[in-house]
Amino acid sequence: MSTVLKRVAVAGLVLLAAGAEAAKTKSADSSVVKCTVELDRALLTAGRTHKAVVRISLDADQVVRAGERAPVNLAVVLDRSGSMGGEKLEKAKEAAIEALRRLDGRDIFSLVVYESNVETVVPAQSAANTEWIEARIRSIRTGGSTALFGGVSQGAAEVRKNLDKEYVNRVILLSDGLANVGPRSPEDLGRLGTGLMKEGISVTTVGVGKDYNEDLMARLAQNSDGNTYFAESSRDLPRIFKAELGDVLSVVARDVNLIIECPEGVRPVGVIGRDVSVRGRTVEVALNQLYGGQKKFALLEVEIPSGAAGESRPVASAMVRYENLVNQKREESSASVEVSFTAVVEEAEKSVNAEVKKDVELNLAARAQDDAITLADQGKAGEAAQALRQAAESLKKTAEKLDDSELAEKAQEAEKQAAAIEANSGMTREQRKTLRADSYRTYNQQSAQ
Amino acid sequence: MGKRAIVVYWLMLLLPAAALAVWALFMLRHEEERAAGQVVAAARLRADAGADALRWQVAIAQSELSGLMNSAPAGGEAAYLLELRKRHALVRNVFIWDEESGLLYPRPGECSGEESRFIARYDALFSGRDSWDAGEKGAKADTVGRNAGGWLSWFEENRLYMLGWKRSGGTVFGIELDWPVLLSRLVAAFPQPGEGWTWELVDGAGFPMHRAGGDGEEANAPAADIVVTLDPEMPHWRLVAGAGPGAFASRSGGVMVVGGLMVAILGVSIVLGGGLLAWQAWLQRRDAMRKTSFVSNVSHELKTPLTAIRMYSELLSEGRVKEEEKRRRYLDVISQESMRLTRLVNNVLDFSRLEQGRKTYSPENIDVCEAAGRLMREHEWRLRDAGMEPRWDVSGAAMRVRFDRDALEQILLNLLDNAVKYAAAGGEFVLSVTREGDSVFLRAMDRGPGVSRQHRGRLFEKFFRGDASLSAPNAGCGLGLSIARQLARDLGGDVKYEPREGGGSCFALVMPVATGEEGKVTGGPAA
Repeated sequence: MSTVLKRVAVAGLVLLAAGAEAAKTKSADSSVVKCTVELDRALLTAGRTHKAVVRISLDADQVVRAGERAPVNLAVVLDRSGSMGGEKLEKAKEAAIEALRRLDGRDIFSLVVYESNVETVVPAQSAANTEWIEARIRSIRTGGSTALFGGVSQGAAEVRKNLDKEYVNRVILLSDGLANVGPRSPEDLGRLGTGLMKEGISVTTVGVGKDYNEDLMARLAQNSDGNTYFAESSRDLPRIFKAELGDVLSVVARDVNLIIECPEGVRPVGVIGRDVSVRGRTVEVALNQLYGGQKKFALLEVEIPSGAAGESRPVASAMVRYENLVNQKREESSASVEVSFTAVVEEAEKSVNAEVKKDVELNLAARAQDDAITLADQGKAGEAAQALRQAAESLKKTAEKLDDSELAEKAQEAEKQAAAIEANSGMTREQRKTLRADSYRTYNQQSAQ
Repeated sequence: MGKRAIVVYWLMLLLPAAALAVWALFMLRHEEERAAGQVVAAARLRADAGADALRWQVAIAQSELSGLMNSAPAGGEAAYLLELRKRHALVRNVFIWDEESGLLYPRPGECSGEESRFIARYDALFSGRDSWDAGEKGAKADTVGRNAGGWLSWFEENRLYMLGWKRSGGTVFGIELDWPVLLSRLVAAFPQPGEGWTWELVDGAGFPMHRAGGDGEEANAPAADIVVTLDPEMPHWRLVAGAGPGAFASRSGGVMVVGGLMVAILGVSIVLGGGLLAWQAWLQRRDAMRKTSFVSNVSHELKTPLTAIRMYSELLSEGRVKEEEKRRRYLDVISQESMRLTRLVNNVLDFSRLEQGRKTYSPENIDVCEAAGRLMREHEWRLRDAGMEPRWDVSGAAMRVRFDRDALEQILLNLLDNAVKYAAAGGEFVLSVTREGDSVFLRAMDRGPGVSRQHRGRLFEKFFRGDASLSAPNAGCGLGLSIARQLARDLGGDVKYEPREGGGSCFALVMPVATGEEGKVTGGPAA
């Protein structure tokens, strides 16, 4: 009983400290997306350089009325190769129809199927033609091999027909197999994702079963700022499509550009979980869209030079520019953060921002998962398990420090995964998919599957 | 004309016909090949056009990016290029390189993973080992010199990369084209092959990058019927066109089907015509043989009574027969034989009339019992002379039919003659009359040997005789039953053969009942 009380008290203290320091961050206007910049701790010990993490968060407003949402330009790309036969394809069709029914006359819908050839079953058109589109979807039958690249390309081409208008552009790709026609490496599909992102098209990937290439699916989604899902069974598909449509229909901002600048002396190292280039002291992160009610953030690692006790120093300023889809205006929001130096080590330790620390920890764990996948792929099962165990250890430590149950759960989960790798002396395909999808969701702050 | 001759004539007709058909089929095949050649030539043209379209799209993308590079502001290239990379989907990486100081952007050590791979990829250029104008890697330089520029196609780990560059003084800046993005656009606007053809875009490693056309069912690559290289824009890439099962159907298939059908019709009609002619020849030959046999049979038949008449009349005229008894008997024989001769001649005359269709009838209502009874009484002695016991199985009731009186008499006489001739050993001749429905059946039954099963089918054919040889124990010309059936049928009736229970034969003459009496009595033999 008393320990619980103690824990609550400690947590309260930490929050208080964080709150006090958070007052130093400056937030700008009251637009639809709010930018906040925080440091993982508010006080640094004086007299030495520090590595710290800056969290730049983008808070998107929940759209007030359903009528205010932005119209959607959606292309569904279905794999109809032989392996999709039977229940899988039926469920996929059901899911596609489910998605269609959530759209209305303002939205645009198209559907592409592929096996060795690519076929546009529903060319881009108003989603109001529900009956005809449904009949077309129901007539889909399975075919031969898998031309995933061609399918996505065709889906993107359908979306591109209405690219100049104010739509939320989205391709949903569903596949259960390995591409055997067309480019098939995660790198190539990643490039395609990057290209589509520049055009404002996001690709959400849904993998079914255990035969698809999760790296490819994750990379395609990541580079185009889409979501990725792993459906163990085709029965999950309607639920996944519902969740995805929930996201798509709640987009409030698009063409989101986040520019982070560090003042002289502070050196940005990189963003955890994203491959971005650092130019001098400037880092740019591009996002295709922000969903209503979503909190999206980037974790920037920085090197801060030493300072004298009592001194304050700016660490980073961020500016976000985006297109507000509710009123179709370009807006921006900016914020910055400073850090103070103290001679008291305990004070510095107490100034930890629990939320930021937790996000950092989760992202580092995700990075460890990716490392474990790479190691397991190289046949180094022991090292892979070791990487996960280290992550679990670090998670556990932070969980205790912050008294956070989610982190503790995560630590247990990482240990379980490590044990599974040791037991199977390698990674099973399901495990690999689960880990890949999980780390992707962490990097991308995708709402849970 | 012998059977062999017929076969020979038929073969003479058949063999040229078969040769004609084979030749026609050969010519058809030739035509098919020619048509297939045309189809392939057309497909090649189409594939060439398709490959041109692909090359054009690449060239257009490259020239668009070249144009953008050309409008880079002098001195502000870096910012311009970075903005381009951020906004332009086809720009993968950008670089600025100086002859003296090497890479200005991206700088090794402060770049993203993608950029460091980019630097490694073009290390030969950035380290100065390869010249920008060098043509060995598929360079396509517009001009050479201080203000040159162009596109390089680059291969690394079997993957295609394209690098556009522009020299301005001592610096070279440029753009790496995002090939997967451009490929995605090529694929989405892929030219379509003709019906029945499958097109495949194959990369340098031989892997299919896109497939179009075909039914999509076959997962295998198309047989490489036509290969068009996509140099120089996409070195080592190829467009492969393969013919599916439907590729030749539209043009040559029709020729083959129609031609084959015509040849088949021609062949069948020649064979059928030849067969018909051969059959006719065989029929004529059979008829000729039958006529010869008929003439000899009739001569023989005529000769027998004539010999008897001549012999007895000579005996009588010589006056050597003294006894009155004997003379009378001889005269009886002469009279009987001349009657037989009359019947024979009547039959032959009737036959010729029937054959020519000149036989006339005068049907009337006749009482069968009365007419048949009279005839039986007149000829009873002949049956008895042959050792047969005539029996008359007729009810008292009048049985009236619509029939020709003379025809009825002739039919009955023929049946009676046959019984005397063939069934005398049976010792019985029964005549019965019954009414069944609207027909009256007059049956002549004997206990003779009957008609063997193999002869029953041809019993009523003209000239047919169970034993046709001249030396047969019973002479005849094979006309009796044929004439009987012909007469009966002409009058709306028939003559049928029915095997008799307990041995012997039964010939039934069917006649229609007299007018006005139809339906009066139904079924059942009159007792």
